[in-house]
Amino acid sequence: MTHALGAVARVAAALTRASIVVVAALMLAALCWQVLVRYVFASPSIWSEELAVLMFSWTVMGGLALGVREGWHVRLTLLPEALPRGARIWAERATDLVTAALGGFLAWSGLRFYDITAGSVSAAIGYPIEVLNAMAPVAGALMALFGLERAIRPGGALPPPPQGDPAA
Amino acid sequence: MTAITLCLTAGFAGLVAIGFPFAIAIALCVTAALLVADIEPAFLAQSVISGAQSFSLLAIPLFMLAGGLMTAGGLSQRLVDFAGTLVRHRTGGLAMVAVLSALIFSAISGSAPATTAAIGSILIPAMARAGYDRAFAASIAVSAGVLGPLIPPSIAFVIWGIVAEQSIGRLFLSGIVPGLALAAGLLVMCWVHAKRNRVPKLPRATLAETWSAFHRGKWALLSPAIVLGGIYGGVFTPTEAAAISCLYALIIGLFVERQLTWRGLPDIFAEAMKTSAIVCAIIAVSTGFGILVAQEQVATRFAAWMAANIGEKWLALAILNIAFFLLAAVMDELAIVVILGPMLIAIANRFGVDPIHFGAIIVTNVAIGMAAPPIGYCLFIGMAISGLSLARISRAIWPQILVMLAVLFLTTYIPEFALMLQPKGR
Repeated sequence: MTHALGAVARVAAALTRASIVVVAALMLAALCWQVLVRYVFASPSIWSEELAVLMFSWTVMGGLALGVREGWHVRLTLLPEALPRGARIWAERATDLVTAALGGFLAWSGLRFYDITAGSVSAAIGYPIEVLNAMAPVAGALMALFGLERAIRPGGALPPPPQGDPAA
Repeated sequence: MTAITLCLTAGFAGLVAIGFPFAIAIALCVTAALLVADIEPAFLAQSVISGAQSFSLLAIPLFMLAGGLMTAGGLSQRLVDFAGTLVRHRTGGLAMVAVLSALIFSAISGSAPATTAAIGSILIPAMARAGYDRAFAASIAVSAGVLGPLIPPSIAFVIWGIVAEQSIGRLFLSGIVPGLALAAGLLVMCWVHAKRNRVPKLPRATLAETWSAFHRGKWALLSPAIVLGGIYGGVFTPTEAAAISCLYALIIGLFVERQLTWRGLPDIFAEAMKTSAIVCAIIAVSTGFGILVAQEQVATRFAAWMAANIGEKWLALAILNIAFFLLAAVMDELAIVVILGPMLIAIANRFGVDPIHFGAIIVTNVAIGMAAPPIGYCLFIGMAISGLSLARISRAIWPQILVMLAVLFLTTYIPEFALMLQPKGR
């Protein structure tokens, strides 16, 4: 069970990371195209800004979820670090479980929002607004998966203890 | 105090204190508020999605990407080489090179951590080899790195512009004089340190050497001109400038300098998006938080309380600066700006502080917070590069922190200091 969840989380994380790199490249291309056509061809693009913002939204939503798995969201660690290692592992597990629950709530909230807004289209490109609004339930589900995987990971999600501080 | 206000204030403080990441703590508080007040749960998803839909915010990942591409493409090394030929022969010359290089790099990346990493990775080892105390070398790279948020383009000003709904172009201008003043102060510190510790001077560069370094660094030196010239020439918006800066770095790195490879690009993109997501995720989830704070009038009530109990503008600004400095010791600076933004703006409005001037004060505080112990983000980069402990760099950086506080004092109490470059008739 733990191994299966770990494998699913690894694949989901790799796909999320790859998708973020691809949409970031598309975002950059859309904005460069916007400047190019405005000044070189004297014809402002009507779709590029909306596409770039759509792509950016996934870098944020995907990044929100990926940050849970990789533990790079900024946080205060004064109190957790004051705990003995054993207690800290359990405190981290509790934090990860609550984060997973939040992910579940975001996914549910996102599905409700998706239903409420279904059928609308974006202003410039006319893409179905579901493409944008699906990001919330997807990111929520990923957060739930990543949070849960960290919480039940054997040995906890804490990095191994340092082997002395050579820099001190 | 209503249940929602309790969730947003005590709930948030409690979650952060026990170690929840800021973005998660904010989303949990919003969720709790929705549940206790029986608000439609879709509000959470709606607010997060709408928070990630700002065109101006796109400048954040793109400026970070531009910094990453410039460093990987070898342009940072060229900047350092060129700055070296200008000042290396002076007392404290190599440390001055760090300050000058950071000044130029700041006009490309807009990010303090990116500037510290780009300059520090080259100059901290070089300064140690040249006889500087390693802790001083790390501390000067860290201090010079915080020119990133002050010199335009600046990610911190972009964030404040979005939070405060002010012109990002005008905010950029308000950081130039404080940034240059800080650079000047740091140059003096370099001189004093080298004089006191009798650090040997390096030989003066010949004219041919200077010309050669200029020639090799011309692509890097052209980048700030393109970005800033484009923004203030009305050619493109700050967000578009960030994209053009990335495109420029890509072209130079791939086809001119040939130090970038196609295979290496995904990692550079991934790293920039990661750093950006750390900030942007907080901004996105804070949208719902901000709406609830406004609905509960938490910010306006606090501002009114301050006005009633403090009265004097100078005292209110002093308290704000001290509070920011203390808060930055335990909390990420950009998170403070985003989360407390509505409250800060309400206080500034109450005391009649010019919004652009106030932006300069806030961003100067952000810059100081990035270098100040114990959790300044740039400090950790300086530690990673130098291999020194936090305690050693913290001791070495205090004189530079005092210079930064002097700049903050001038920015706070002499509005013209920050506003002198604003266009006439604004």
